[in-house]
Amino acid sequence: MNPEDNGRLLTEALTRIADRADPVHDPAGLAERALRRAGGRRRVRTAAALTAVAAATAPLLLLGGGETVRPAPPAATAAPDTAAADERRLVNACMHHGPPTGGMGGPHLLPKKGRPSDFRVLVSTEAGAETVAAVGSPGGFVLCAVQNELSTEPPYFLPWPGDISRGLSSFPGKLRVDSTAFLTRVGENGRGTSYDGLHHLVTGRFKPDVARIEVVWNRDRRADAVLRDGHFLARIGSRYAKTDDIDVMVRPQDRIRSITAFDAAGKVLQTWKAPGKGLRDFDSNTCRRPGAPALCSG
Amino acid sequence: MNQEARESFTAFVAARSGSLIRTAYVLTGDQHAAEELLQNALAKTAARWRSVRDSPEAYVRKAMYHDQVSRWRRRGREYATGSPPEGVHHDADVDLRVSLERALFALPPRKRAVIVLRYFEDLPEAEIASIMGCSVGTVRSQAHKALARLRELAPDLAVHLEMS
Repeated sequence: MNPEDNGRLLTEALTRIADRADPVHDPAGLAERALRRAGGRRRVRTAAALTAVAAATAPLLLLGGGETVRPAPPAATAAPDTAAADERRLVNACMHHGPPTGGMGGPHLLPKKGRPSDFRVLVSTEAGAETVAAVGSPGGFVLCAVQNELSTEPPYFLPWPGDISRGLSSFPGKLRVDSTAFLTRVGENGRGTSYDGLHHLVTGRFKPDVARIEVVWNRDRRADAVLRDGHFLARIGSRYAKTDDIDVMVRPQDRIRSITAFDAAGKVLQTWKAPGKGLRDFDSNTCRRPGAPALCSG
Repeated sequence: MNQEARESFTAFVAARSGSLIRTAYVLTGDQHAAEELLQNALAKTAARWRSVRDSPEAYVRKAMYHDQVSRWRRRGREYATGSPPEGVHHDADVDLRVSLERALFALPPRKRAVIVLRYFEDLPEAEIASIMGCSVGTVRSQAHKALARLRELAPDLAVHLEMS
């Protein structure tokens, strides 16, 4: 069989697959939603307003070479109405203006898990022009990286791990890890390398006497978490490893080694240490698999 | 975005959404995932409408391919999203088609993207290279490797998928 026959065989197969697609029944609505998300009317302000609603503790980054990076101090506090409206826009962007979704390969839309109005910003932090956030509901939360109301991730729903029957703050100890994840950085379309850009983040909960949380990654990278209303979030920049074979997907080797909670006087309240080489990916969806990690309980 | 731009964008979506949802479905194998992929790509296109309105369809496709490849890579594993119709097949040609569709869904992300761009979109190699951010030589290499991989995934197709 010659190459032209290859082409015909593949074209026919791909066309059959495409024929199973449902057509777009409301193109005007599709365009309107795209325009809305493109910020045709309003944009999320990632500077003053969101900084004002973020935690009082600004993240402190200590890079491997001893370089210290401090983000700019928070701008003047925005008016409450403006801050609330900006938070609502962030939630809507995170949730893609709809219900959350299941993981790839599983059920897609999960309307029973709530609408955007059921979610609120738990904690967020700035990363350049992006906002990395955890938005939550009583049942679970969604992680996202957002810029100009565009979110890089589908709103994957992550149920709260552990026992929450007595409330989200009923976990044992001073802090609790809820998830670690890689999120795609927003980047720019058409720039291939930008799609390698990632955030590696950890989110969790803490008790009222905790004043500071430090996260330590492999290669001795450290970051102070942003704290807000019992929820914390810490992140570092990450990316896929480059290889000569573009088809080799070398996942980032960023791993969280430990998380330490301090009180206001600087005393260590608790240090959580990750098992083995460290924690790379974790969320409650892994708790359904055999050999669920210890983070699934408690 | 002014009113004229909004109208031109809306007209573009009305004219091309039928074709674009098919491409999104070939990439994802799932209707909801396809709709979300297309929605995201259109939002990115709308945000840059002034600079891309001369060739918006290429921009939308580029955004969809990059978005989907990025998601595949980030999840760190392959999964067959969508499946060919199930059933007991006694027709050899039907069995062959089912095998090929399964094999296509199982391809790694970049190989699958090259196959879709080349054989479904029927794009020239230079344009494929531009979309994927690589050289024409890499596109040819990836297409060659994709065919080899399809032969591995579906041995009964080996005699039908000769190496070019």
